[in-house]
Amino acid sequence: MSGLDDGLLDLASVAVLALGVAALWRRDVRALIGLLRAQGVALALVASVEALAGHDVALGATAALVLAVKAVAVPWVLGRVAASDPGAREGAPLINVPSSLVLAAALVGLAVVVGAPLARLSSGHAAALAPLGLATVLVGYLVLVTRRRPLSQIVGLLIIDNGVALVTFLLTSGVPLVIELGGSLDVLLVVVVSTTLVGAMRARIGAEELDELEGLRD
Amino acid sequence: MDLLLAGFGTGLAAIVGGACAPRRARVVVAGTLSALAAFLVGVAGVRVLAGGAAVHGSFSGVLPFTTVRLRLDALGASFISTVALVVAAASLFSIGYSRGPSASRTAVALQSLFALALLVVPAAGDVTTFLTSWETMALTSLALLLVDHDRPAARAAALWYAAMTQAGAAAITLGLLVTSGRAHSSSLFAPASSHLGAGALGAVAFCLTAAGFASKAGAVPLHVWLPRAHPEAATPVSAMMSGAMTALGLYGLARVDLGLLGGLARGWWIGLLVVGALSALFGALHAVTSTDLKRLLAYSTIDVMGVGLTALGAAGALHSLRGAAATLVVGVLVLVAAHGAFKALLFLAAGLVERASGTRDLDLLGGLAGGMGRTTALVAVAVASAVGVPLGAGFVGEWLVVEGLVGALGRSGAGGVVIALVALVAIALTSGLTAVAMVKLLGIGFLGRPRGDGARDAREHLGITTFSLGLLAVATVALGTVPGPVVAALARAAGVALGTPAGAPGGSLDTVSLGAVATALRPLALVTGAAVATAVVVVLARFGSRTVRSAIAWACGRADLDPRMQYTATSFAEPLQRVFADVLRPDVDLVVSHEEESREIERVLAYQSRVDDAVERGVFRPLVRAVDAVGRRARWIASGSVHRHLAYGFAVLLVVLVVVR
Repeated sequence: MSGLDDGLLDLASVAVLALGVAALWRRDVRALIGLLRAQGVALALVASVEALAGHDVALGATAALVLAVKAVAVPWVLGRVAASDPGAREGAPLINVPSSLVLAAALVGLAVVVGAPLARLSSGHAAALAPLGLATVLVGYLVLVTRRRPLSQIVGLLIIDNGVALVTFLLTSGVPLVIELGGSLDVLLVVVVSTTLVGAMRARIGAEELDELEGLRD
Repeated sequence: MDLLLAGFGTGLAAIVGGACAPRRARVVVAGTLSALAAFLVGVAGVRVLAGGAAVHGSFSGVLPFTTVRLRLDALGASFISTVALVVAAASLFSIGYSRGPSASRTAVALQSLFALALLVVPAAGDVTTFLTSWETMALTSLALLLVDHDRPAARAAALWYAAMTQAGAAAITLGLLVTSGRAHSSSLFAPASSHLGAGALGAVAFCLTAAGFASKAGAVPLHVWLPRAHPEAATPVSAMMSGAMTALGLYGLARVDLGLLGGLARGWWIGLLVVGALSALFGALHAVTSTDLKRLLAYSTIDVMGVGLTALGAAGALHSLRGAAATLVVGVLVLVAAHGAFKALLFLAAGLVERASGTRDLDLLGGLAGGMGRTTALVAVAVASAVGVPLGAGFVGEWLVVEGLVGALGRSGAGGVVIALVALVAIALTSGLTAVAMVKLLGIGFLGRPRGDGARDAREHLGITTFSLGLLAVATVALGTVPGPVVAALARAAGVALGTPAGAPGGSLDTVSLGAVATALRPLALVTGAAVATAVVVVLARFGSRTVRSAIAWACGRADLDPRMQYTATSFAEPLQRVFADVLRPDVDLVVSHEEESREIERVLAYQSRVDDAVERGVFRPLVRAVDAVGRRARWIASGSVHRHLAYGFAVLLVVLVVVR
């Protein structure tokens, strides 16, 4: 792996994490979807750099698949739901933006500390970046926990999935194509089902935020 | 092995038949195939018992992640033969009996699966196979309870049963894990010199497995599910539950605790003995006071299984006395076989009575001998066996148990004598109470005059149902009159459980002889003697007195006897209920309503007594309330907020990350 490849890999991996953190900062739902699209591109970049460096055709196909699903299909589905409710903005999140950014910093630190054994699993440069994937997972979880709108929560879930994918690409140079295919289709299915659910929630109960569902208990 | 596999294959075919056959043929197909499966497996068991070598085989690919190992030795064969008899009879019975919800596709397939699981358990050769079949047996019987889920009583019974059976299965799993972890082997067949029971871990394994198996056998205080579940299940299912499934609890104790956990401290076995004695007394007392036909039978199951537990506990405690221990174990095996036959018969007959008369309340029955003569005769055979009078199958088992204990009296130290005496006294009292309960069942339920319209109009229909009852009755009578060969075969099974065949009782066609003591049982001689005596009496009566005067028996000079003048089940049990009031704590209501004109004249006296299960009231109700209270308090944890639930997950993830690092 050449120096240029290493640099590209660094850049793309950090981009995945940075875009995840940015999702904590933006409130506009459409901006969140844009971030997700960019994250998908960065993830595909990670996979393709590794494919080029290792001359691995299957990994190249996986990169194309990631690009198609995570950068095109999923944002498109989400975008359709967002379009039906233009100008949707996240109300006040459960934790305000500066605090959540500080928390995200703490989570990244935690990920680097607890992810050290992950980095030692394999010797290459790519493995050393694996804690970034773990950090992305944690940040995605934070988005999931602190956001009120269902669509933002789906975005959080997808950031978690992107983090997991990042770890697998960095550690094992990608999983077999079949598994990646299955995983991606699962993600797509989850997104379709949840967006349908969001639509049904809006139509049936008129609820815009998940907290409004609390009254349905019992 | 081929025979065994053919049987299991037929059992699978029965399940498929029950699930796929069209509505009309479903019950017939599944019942026939199940009975055939039981027959094949039973023949395989009898062949092993009769002196054939233990059969075994292992099959990979049947269950995921594990290999199925089957192994049938003499001990397993002794239980599998009993189970096969009960399953065959109950399956044949269901052909003529099942209708309504219990003839639905699910119910018929589940019943076949339950029958198959019962047949597999004694043939399981390693821990995973055993636990899989055990759990299948527990879950299918639970599902079968829920077949009739429209009735609240069935739902409540299922809830109790689910909690108890799953707790028991968990305990057995843990105990077997401990055992096989120590043995470095998952086999259920340890070498004779195993010391797996030694030390604290051995005691833990014993407590866990014994609690699990004893709860299946209805040991107090883990019995609460049994008197609820057995009466609520469909009749063929309750016969299988009572005749076969409870026996498998004793099988587990004999196989795992007696066979595998060698070197266990004696105190644990004495504990089992005490539990068994208490169960026997408790079951017999409740059987005496029950007025519900099936509930009486369920409590009587607790009673017989309690005697079995007592004998097994004594066998474990007196393990060093070869002859006594072997006699006790053979006694338990005979008792299990006898109980399987007569209890299945009684449960099936109870089902017929309930269908014919519309009630199971003994207070409203009576006089069934008129309309249901053959059923009554068959029930009388079973009752004779249950009471433990000579020539009944139950007698042979109890005689062997008592002889084993008496044999231990003369040959052991002070500790052994006390153990044997306690067990003897408990068994003696239990036998007396059982006799009362069984006399009540036959005398109040079937003889006398009808006390209700249902009982008056009850008629029996001859067919496959009566045939299956007859099958069980023949088995009972055969075991009672020709027990010698059976005892000789079961002695080998006891040798497997105890690790050595030394000192076991033997038997020939007409004699059962004890190895240690010069005592023998000659039932055939008794039969001949009784036949001769009867003939003599008949001849004398015919020729001695010419004048025959007919009058109503026991009429005290009155000719206008009224059904209301008879004993009812409640009044028959009342004296004993009064004697044991401190234990039973009955709720007695006496409502007196007066004539309007005068307070002195009583118009109606309504006496009602209900005996609740004291253990359930004293132990389990408070436990359930406490768990319920904790659950209510803990509701704030699940507030319904999505974010809170997500935050729980997030927090746990962070904690795990930090801790695991």
